[in-house]
Amino acid sequence: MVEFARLEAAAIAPRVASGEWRAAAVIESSLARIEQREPDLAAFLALDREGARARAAELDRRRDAGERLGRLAGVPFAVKDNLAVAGRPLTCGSRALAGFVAPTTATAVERCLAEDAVLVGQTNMDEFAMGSSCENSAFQRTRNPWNRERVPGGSSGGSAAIVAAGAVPFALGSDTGGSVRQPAAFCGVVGLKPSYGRISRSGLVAFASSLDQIGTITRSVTDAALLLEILAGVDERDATTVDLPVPPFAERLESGLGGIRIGILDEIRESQLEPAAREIWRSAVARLEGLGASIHPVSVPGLESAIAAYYVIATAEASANLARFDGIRYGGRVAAPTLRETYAKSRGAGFGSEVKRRIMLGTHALSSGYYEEYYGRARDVVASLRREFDTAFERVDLIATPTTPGTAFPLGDRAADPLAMYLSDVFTTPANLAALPAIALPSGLDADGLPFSLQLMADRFQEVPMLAAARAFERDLGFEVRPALEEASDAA
Amino acid sequence: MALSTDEVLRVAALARLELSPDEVRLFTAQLRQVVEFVDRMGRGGSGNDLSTADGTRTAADVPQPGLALEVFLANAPEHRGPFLVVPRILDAEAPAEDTRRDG
Repeated sequence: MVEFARLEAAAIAPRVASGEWRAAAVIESSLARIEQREPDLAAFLALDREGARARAAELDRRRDAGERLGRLAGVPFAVKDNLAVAGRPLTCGSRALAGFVAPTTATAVERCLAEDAVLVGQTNMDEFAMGSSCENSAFQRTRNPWNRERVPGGSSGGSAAIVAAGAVPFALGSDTGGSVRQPAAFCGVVGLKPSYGRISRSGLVAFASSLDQIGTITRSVTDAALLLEILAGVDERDATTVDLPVPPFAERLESGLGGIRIGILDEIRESQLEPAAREIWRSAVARLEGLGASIHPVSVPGLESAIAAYYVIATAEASANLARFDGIRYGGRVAAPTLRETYAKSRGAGFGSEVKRRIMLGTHALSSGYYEEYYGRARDVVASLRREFDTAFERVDLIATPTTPGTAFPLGDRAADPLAMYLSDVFTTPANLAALPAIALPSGLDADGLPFSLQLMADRFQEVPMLAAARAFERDLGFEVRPALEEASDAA
Repeated sequence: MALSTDEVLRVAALARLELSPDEVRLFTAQLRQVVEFVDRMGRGGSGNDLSTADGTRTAADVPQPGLALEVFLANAPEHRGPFLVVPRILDAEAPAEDTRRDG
């Protein structure tokens, strides 16, 4: 049997559209792989086998009737469980939303469906997208397909794990401080966070609205470009989407690295990286140079305060956004005599520890007497950071960093130390604060066989050279997404 | 600025979160650590014009259909006929002090 699901979306869709492959066969292959991997990975919160089969049959019928199918014809995909799909459960990994059924469909999901992709299910995540390990899910711990004792990263950990396991070619996630890129890095796949305003967030449950972006997790840069082309563009339902023409990202993917100026940040010191990651980082920079890019030191001094500013702004916005989960209109309610007690008890019972911690931190940062000290100061830091990035991008086309300081850490390793967990987002949060696009892609394996990742950032709306550089790097490295668990179960 | 237990309780009340005594102890220690870290945040320049949403458009002012009543009620924790059941609001308690800043 052809392993359809280990292929790229860009390879599957034309074959289904031409009739060479049946959509039903592709979906059966994907579902079989999910059955095989899911007991080990626990990546899904909900599966819709019947819905996926019915949809595949419908696509085959339409094709047989002579209809021309879309750019994702018959491609199975999964979505992080904070993206609404009408009639399907939507939990955000939280007990507060257990039993909730989404009344609408997110624009990003609609756009995939409009291109004839087939949704197979909702993936596990840190509760309300707050976390870097997927361990903050109220329901289950997802494991890393490269090593089941390691975390898959977070918060889009289920999406990254299932793509890495070869069960679907792509999944959607959301990235507020690195939640697409960091799990992609830990799982050895490609994570793209586009510029703020590029993809509609309508139907994405809000965490921190000035930072949230929907992103893609794929097995290749080619698929990241294809999906960005499909997902990008103005949407009446999200006023922050920017009305710019959507470039033909896929068409301009092979333009290479020749003449591209890449900045390396003075603020990133090798001592910040785990020892095993240093050599992989150095060789990634050498590879970029070898491919024709010129390397330049650049400085963004505001990076030193970026993580702190991020945790003030993100938690302040989260404390406001999550005020709606009060047990009144939807979600779990704990009955109490007064309204105030109903709020407090319902929220106390519905939210897990990390969500409570962040709501508390955000409420504190916004409370009387502390507002200027925290929120005002954090906004000043971000304004400076943006000016510094603007200056840097006058001198270079792209900025390269490691995606994370190290490879996937062991399950349970940082669960009791929130600050250590926050610090693992050091390289990813700046792109969110500065509204920049960024892509994470595999850059090699460490001695334990765990993937490490390169991050490329570009100026706002400059995804075209960023994707082309990523593609050139990917092609030259020839990294194979074949995690250990996949190998083991193939041999069995 | 270190957070005291009283401050943790005050913030929990503002955030409408009931915490167990264990959570109060845990969060007092953890939030103190995080707040100390945040206190080291530098100062950016002034003039924080943060228009992440440059180009944000306003929607046309035309009525759009909302959620159908049955769809809304399907997710309601408690309803009676077409009405959402909520705890008593009036006369339930004196308005509590709320020092949370708007905006």
